[in-house]
Amino acid sequence: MSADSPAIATPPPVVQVRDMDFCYGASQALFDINLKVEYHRVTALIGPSGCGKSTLLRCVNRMNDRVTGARVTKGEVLVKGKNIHHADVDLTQLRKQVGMVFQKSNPFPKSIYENVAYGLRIHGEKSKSVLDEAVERSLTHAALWEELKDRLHANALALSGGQQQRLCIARAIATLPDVLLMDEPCSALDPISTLKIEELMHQLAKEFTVVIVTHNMQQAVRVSDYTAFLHLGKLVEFAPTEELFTNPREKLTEAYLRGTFS
Amino acid sequence: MASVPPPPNDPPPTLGSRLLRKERRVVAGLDPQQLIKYFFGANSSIAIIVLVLIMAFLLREGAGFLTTYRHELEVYRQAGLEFCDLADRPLQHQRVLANALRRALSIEMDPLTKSARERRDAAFLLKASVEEKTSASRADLEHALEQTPPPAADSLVHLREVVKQKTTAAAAAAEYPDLFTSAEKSRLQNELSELSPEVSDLPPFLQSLIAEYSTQDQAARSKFAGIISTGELFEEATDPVVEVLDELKAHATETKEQATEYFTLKAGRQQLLDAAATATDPERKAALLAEAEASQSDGVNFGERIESILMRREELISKLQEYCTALEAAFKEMPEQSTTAEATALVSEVRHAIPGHLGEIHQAVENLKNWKWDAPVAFYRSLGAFFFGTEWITNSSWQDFFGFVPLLAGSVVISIIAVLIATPVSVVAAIYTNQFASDREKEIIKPVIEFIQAIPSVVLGFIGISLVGNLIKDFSEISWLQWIPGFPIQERLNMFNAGCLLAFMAVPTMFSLSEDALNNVPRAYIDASDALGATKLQTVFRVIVPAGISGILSAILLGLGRVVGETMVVLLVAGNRIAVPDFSAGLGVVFQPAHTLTGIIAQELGEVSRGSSHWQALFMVGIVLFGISLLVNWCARAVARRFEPHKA
Amino acid sequence: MTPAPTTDNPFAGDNSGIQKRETAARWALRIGSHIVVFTTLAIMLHIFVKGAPVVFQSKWPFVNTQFLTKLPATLHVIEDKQGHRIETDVNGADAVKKKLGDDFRSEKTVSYSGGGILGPIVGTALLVVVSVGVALFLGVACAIYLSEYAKHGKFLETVRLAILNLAGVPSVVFGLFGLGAFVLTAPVFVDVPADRSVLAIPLGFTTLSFEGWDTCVLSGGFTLAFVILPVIITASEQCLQAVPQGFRETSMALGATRWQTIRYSVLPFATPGILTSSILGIARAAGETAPIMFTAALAFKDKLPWQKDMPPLPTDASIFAHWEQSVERFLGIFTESVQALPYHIYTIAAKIPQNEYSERAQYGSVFVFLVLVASLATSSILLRKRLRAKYRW
Repeated sequence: MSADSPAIATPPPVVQVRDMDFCYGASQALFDINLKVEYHRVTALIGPSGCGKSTLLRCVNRMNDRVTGARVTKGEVLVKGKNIHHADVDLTQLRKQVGMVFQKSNPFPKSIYENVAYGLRIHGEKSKSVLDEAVERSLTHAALWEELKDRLHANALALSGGQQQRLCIARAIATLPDVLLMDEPCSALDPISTLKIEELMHQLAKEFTVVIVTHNMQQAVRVSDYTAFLHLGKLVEFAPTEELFTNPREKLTEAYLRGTFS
Repeated sequence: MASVPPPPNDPPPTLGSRLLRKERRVVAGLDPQQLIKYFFGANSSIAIIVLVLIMAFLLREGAGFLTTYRHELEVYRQAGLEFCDLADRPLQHQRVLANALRRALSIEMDPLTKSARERRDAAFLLKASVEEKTSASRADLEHALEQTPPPAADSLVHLREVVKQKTTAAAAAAEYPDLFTSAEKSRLQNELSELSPEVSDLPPFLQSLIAEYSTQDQAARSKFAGIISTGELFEEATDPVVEVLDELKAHATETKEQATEYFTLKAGRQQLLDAAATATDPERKAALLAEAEASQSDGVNFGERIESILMRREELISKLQEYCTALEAAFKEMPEQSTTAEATALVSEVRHAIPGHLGEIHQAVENLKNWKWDAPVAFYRSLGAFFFGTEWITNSSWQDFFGFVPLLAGSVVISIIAVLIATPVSVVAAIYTNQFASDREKEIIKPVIEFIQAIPSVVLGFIGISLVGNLIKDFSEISWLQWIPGFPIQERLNMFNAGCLLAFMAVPTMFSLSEDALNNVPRAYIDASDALGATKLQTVFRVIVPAGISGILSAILLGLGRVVGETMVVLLVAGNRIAVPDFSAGLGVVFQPAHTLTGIIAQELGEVSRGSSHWQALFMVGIVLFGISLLVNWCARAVARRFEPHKA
Repeated sequence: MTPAPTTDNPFAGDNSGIQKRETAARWALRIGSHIVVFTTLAIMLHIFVKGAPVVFQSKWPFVNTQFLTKLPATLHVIEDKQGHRIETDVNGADAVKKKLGDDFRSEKTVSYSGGGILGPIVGTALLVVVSVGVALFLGVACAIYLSEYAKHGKFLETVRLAILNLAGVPSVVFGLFGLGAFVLTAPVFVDVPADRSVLAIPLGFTTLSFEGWDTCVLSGGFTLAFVILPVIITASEQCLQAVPQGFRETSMALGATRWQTIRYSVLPFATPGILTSSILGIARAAGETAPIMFTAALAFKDKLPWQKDMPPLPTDASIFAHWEQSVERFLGIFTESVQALPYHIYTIAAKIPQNEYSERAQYGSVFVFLVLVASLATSSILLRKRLRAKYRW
């Protein structure tokens, strides 16, 4: 079952998933997914554990490529109008423009500065002033600049959990990606850090397009503009968040939202 | 009303009560469980105990070295050997310089006499090869001629015939080099065909070649009369000094022998007395005491004996000063320029060394003047002589020295070579295997490298002798590789050879530990880097390797530890020349032979008597080695901790 | 502002240089690691090519049995006047010379290069038995404590540090230690203590004297035991740790004591692994040379360890006398020096002049030695793999 695209879709979607099937070896994980992600919106993917929401997220920057046997068997994924499985797509370029933040914060064992500058360095940026500027901008975006500007060269692993996760966000946005994928970014954090990141998400949406996987429905309500509900590898419903939560069209969605899920 | 049966006093044993034995057995006041625990606990400290025991036994055998060596140095001084050495050291330098001059001369003369010499040598080689080919028949003829009574004439004729035939054939078969004109070639062949064991005179052509050479040699000599006379004067100048010095040396050696004899007797006597003190049997005690009494001998009066050396102090000094004047005079006649660049270099080298040499002599004279036979030898001197001494001389008729520097230098240079070779190879292999290799490649690379660990070191040493040495030597003779310093190499067995094999031995240690370190890099780092669009190579070199660097460094250090402690390879392959490597050869130094800390123990310990200073010196080397191994281990741990990232 | 979608490829690789560099670096790494593999195989091949012809032959039984069943001996090479060379041993030399008569030209002797290498093989086997026996006992006991009893603390840390350091001690230092400790100091029962005895404790009927065991199999074996001890401890501890914690908890929950738990619920599952790993210890012990140089090894011995001259017993000797002599013969195996393969190789490689005959003996010995050690190591690796597959908890 596929959801209709929202009515306000005047500009073309930045990410578009069309009729996609996805398999891990012999077992199919996603069935016939259709999804459109709009520019500068926060799109949340929700659903019970194992419904394939993380897999779907990882399809967008082809992180699933590294799992042997994992492949798209039908349909296509378009980012900025380009089929990302096309042979002339350079994976490093794709990932430069589709950033990702992981469930567990994973800063490199380097200084804060080097962590943020990493993405630019690997894409060939050498100029010190450009790097300095990018670091300041990214950290400011991630609401870390004020806290950390005096110890940019301290080891990133010495930061607190919430700071580390925000550092990872800063690292991901340093290369100015069009899309920022977030895979349950708050699941390992305490409520206060979670709150900070959620606040951040609204700011980020001004500059980037955010796709977030979350198991926390309240979080989806708080941060997202659109929400997609997945169940057993199928996209059950995709709608503006308010609409989906107040007036779900599908019974399955309603059951899930009420918590009377079989 | 049925009466309730009284509860039985002894409840029937149930399965449960039989299984659960309530009473605890006690052995020697202790619970057996505790005993078992103590048994294992005691065993677990075995590693600590062994380490302590190693140190204890090394110290027991080796710690006496400092006193023994000090005593030996004392005798060395008191007997006057040190005095002689003061004058002898600069003379040794003089011999080196004289050799350089001689070499310069031969380089100068070589072009003039070369053609005649080569012709002469080629002709003699041909003669030798003909004789060698016919040696069997020649031997038979010689044998027959020596027999008494002489064998029948016709058999002799036959033998002569055979020799003649074979010689002619051999002469015809010989290859005549183009040094000779064709006329000369045929003349030579004719004369060689005539060779017979019965004619002892050289063939006339060979004689003429010898004459030719000596004429040319004479001519060359007259041309270079300047350098020749300088050289001769230079060499003769030391004769008066050496004459005096030899007499002094003989006297000093005699004193030392007396001293050694006395101290041996004294030690023996002390043993007898000790035995007597503990002996219970009075008869035996008396016998021991009597024996001890009999072995009583007078001490050596060093003061008296040294007089005859000191008496000649002034004479020796004046001879040395005369030598200085003679030396200066000799070098006045020295021509400034030589014909070949090489000879010029040698001569100017000698010329530049002369002022230093003169200074040396003056220093020696000063030292001789101030030398006191009875100045005490400080305790730290023996320690310093061990740790900073540059000579390791044993079983010498003059004086044994136990200087540690040559061995340490050998070990250090070899270890550096080995680590420099092994580090890149094993780290590269670890990175490749861990990050890039396919599963099938992994299944080849890993077991093969693990297998290296099982190859016994003596086998690798043997490979060094039989295979690697020859390979390096052949390689060093390739003409387009001559730019490499040290090529062509002189010795098959050298530090580079040993270094290569030790590198091979260190690879498994470095490889496995580095690979572990890379394996332990958290998966999350790789995810993060990939998600930022890094290529595989970027991820590896910017994230994985930096994250694993502490493990890799500590792997390298542990590999170094293995290399320093390895014995058999260096014993077999390093060349075993006890001398400080000549670092003036630049990088070519690696192709010199050397001896090592481990090698010297393995080679010499089997041949020395227990308790001698040599034995103790070898144990001292062992103590140093033990210390080095502990230090390397400590560093490896420290490095692993220092670079370890903070845990998230 | 929303950027307009581009029709061309937004993800085109910006330059192909990166790709080229990537491939080049990958190949450089690959070549680097294959150099090691290649060198190892080349060395193996070299030894095989040069050594196999000494050990194998084209005629039945295809194995040079002499080489494997005879003791090392001096090789006599006799040349006759036709230039034929006859190789024989010391006993055969006279007969050959007599037979040749006038035809005899020269005789050359090459030390240690004749006969076979049975003596060294037997000696190495004895050393290995003693050392692995001692090391297994001490090592497994230590591992049991570390894995089952020890609590985190200073003692445990010290023990681990000591094990690490022990593993790093150079083998020649172990040789010095063995010389000082076992050859010169270890306690023996004697009637009259020697002069060099460090301490003599009279026990009435005999004296316990710390005067050393002299160079013998026991001294060498004990020295080697300490060389391989760290290997055995580490491997055994890993095997014990690999037994799931649940086994222990189940056993304890049933009321078993700590020792019963170890005895019945841990050791049976760890033993195969421990034994397998100890094979690696055997390979290591067999391969070491420096520790036995001063403690056990002899360059030359013309008898096997159990071939000892004993006074013939009278015909009416009691059973007891026979028994006593057998015991003495058995003990004699361990209290005498032996030849050992690694030391034999050292001797023929470094201590005798080199020529074609000595080379043959060298490559033959090296080949046999390497095959023995390598098969031990390989079987250990293979067994470990199989065990891992079998015990997958």
